[in-house]
Amino acid sequence: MPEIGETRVHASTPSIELLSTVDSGRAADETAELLFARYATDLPIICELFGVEQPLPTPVQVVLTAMPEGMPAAHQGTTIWCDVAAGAASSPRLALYSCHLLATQLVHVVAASAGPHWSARTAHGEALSRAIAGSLYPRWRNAWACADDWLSGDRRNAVAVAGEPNDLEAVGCASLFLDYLHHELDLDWRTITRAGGATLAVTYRRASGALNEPFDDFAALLTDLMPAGAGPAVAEPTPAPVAPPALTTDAPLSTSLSDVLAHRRWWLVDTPVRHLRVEDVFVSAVYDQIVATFRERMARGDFSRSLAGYDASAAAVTPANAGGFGVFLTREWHDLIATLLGVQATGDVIATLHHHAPGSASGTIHNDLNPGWFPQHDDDSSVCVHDPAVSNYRTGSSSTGISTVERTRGISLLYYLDTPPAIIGGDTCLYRSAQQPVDQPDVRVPPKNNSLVAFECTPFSYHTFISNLGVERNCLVMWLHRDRAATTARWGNESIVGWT
Amino acid sequence: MDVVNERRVCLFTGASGQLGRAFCAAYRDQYDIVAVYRRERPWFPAQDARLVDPLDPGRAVQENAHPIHALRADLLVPGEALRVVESTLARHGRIDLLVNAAVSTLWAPMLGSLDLANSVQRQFALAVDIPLRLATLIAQLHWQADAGNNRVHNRNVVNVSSVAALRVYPGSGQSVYAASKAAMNHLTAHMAVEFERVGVRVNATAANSFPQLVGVARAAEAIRELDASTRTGELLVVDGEQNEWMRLDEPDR
Repeated sequence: MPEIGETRVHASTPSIELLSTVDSGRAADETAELLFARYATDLPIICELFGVEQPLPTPVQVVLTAMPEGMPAAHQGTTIWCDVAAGAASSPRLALYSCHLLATQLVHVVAASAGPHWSARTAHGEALSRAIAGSLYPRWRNAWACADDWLSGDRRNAVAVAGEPNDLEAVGCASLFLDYLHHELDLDWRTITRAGGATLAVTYRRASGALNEPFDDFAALLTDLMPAGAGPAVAEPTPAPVAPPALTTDAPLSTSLSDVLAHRRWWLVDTPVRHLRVEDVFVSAVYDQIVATFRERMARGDFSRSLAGYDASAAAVTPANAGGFGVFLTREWHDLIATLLGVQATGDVIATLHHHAPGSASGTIHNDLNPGWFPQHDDDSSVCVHDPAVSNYRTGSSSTGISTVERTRGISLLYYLDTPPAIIGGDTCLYRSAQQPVDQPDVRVPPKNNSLVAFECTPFSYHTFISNLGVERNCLVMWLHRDRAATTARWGNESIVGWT
Repeated sequence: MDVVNERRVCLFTGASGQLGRAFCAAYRDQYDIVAVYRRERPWFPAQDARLVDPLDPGRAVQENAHPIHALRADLLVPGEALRVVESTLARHGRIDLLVNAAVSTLWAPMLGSLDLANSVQRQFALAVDIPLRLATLIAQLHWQADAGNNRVHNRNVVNVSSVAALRVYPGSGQSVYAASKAAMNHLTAHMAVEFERVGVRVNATAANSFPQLVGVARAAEAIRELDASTRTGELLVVDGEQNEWMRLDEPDR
C-alpha cells in the first residue's frame, strides 16, 4: 500500500472518514466535496446489490492521494486509497474520476462483508468491481478495460476457475462474461451479484437457473462477434460496437482496410452538416501503433505552434514520418472517405497532428472551405501528400522549383487519439449557422480515442473546437481536396475563404 | 382499419437516456417512434442518420430497417413542446403513446451548498410541467377531437417515475428528485381522471435504479406492458422478483 505522509481531514462521520494527503493540494480539496456526496449515493446502491445492510460494521476511511503508476486505487480492510486527478484543481468535474475509483473499492469492501464469493483476491471479484463502478460512472467504464488481453490470447476458460486479480487475461474474460450475463442474458446486476459463487460458472447457474456449463455458448458468441484477426459484425446499431480484436504484433501491420478496420458499420448523418461518425475505427494493434508514433513525435519535439489563430501545436504527417499513421495516407483510405461523403476528390491530402494543451481556447466557427496548393501529379493510384519541405500549402511557392496547382479543401477529417478519458470538453462542434453561440452547437463530437468525424467542406460546414479542460486533447486532422474549378462552379469564387 | 396490426405512433421524450435507448432497441420494429433528445442523439437509424458499410457503401444494411424519427428539442425552452407535438402530428397524423421519460436529476445534500435548491425548478419542470404540457397539447391538437378513436386505438400516456417517490433512502441526496417524482405520481392520478373524458388512459412506471438493480430492458418492457393494458391511474413498479401494480388514487392499497 502507498506510503502516506501528513494528511488533512475533509469529513468525519460515523460512516466515513475522508482524508487527503497534504501534497495532493487543491485537486484533493475540489475532489473531496463531490466524492463525499457521491459516497452517500453510491454506497446504498452497492450495499443493495450485495444485500448488505447499512451502516457497514466498520467505518470506511478514504484517503485521496497521488497514487503510484498502475495502481490508481487500493484498499486494505475498510481503508481505501484513491488517486486524485491533477486537473481537478481547475475542473471540479474531474473529481468524478476519483469517485469512480472509490466505487471500485467500495464494491470490494462491501463484497467482503457479504461473503467470500466476490473476493478482491479473485479475477471475477476484480471484474465485478469494474463492472459496477462502470455502470455508476459510464464515462470511465473502459478506463481499466482488459478484454483485449483475453481476446488476443488463447481465449482460455476463465469462467470455470477462479483466476487471480493480476491475471489480466482472467480479468478480461471475467469482464466479458459479466457483460454477457448482463447484456446478453438480461440479468440485472443485483441478480448477478447475489448469485455469486466460487466461480463465474456457479454464479451463472445460480443467477439463471440453468444447469449447463456456460463457457462454450459464451465463447461461441464471442467468436461469432469478434473472430480473432477480423473485425466483428455489429449486433446492435450504436456508435460504439463490441471491442475489436488485436492483430498479432509479430507480423508487419497491413494497411489494407479490410484488415485494419475494426468493424464495418459507420454512421452517416445528414444534419446539421453531412458527416461521418465512427467509434473504434481501427483494430487495437493498429491504434497502438498510431499512438506509439504520436508519442515518439511528441518526445522528439516535432510539434510547434505554427497554426496562426489556433490554440494548438502541430506537426505535419508525411510519407517519410507517417509511421503508424500510414493507413491515412493510402489511396484506399482516400477513396473510401471521398466515396462515403460523395466528393469528387483529387488525391491531394494534407495531414497534421494537433496537440491541445489543457485549457486550450475554443476556436471560432468556420467552414474550412480554403484553398491549398499541391505539386502537380498524374498518378491516380496513390495520393499526393503535402510536404512543407517541398512547397507552401497556402501560397504554392516552392524552394525546389516544382510546379504546383491550387485545389480547395473538399473533406475535413478528425481522428482522435491518445487523449485521457477524463477529458472534459475538447469536442468538435457542428453548427447550422455561423451566428450560433460557440457553446450552443447542434452536434458535439467528443474526442473519444480511436474515433473519427469527417464532413464535406462547403460554405455551410460550420464547425469549431471547444476548449478542453483538465487534460490534453490530441488528434490527426487531414483534408482531402477538390478541383478549384469544381468548387467555383458549385458555389462561386467568393465562397472560397482565402488565407489571412 | 386493422387496429391490432397497425404500427403505433410513440412520442418518447428523454430518448437518449438508458431507458429511451432500450425502448428504441427493443421496439422500433413495432412502433413508429419519435425520439426527442436534447444533446446527444440516440444512435439508431433515423430520418437523418444511417449505417453504411465503408467497404461496400452501395450495399443495403439490414440494421437500417425500422428507423426512428430523431427530434432534437430542449423542452424547457418556450415553444419547444408545441413544436414537438406539431412535428409529430404533421409526420404521423396521430399519437398513440406519449412516454414522458425526460428527466433532470441532481442528487445532493441540502446542507453546505445551494446546488440542490437551485435545481428544484428544473427537476420539477421535467417531472410535472413538461409531462402535463405535452399531454395537454396533444389533447388540444388531436385527442380532444377524436375521443372515440382514442379508445379504439387504446391511446395512453406513460409517465416515467421512480421508486424514489415511494420510499425514502436516507443520505442519498434524492430529496428533490423524490419529491418531483412523487409529484409526477399525483399528477398521473389526476390526469387519469381528467383524460378519461377523451378516452385516453394515463399511468406511470417506477423502476428501481437501472441497470444496477433492475435490468433496463425490463424497465422498457414495463412501458410496453402499460401501453398494451387497459388500466388507467396506476403505477407499475419494476423492482424485485416481479413487477407490482399500485393504484395511484389509493396508494396504500
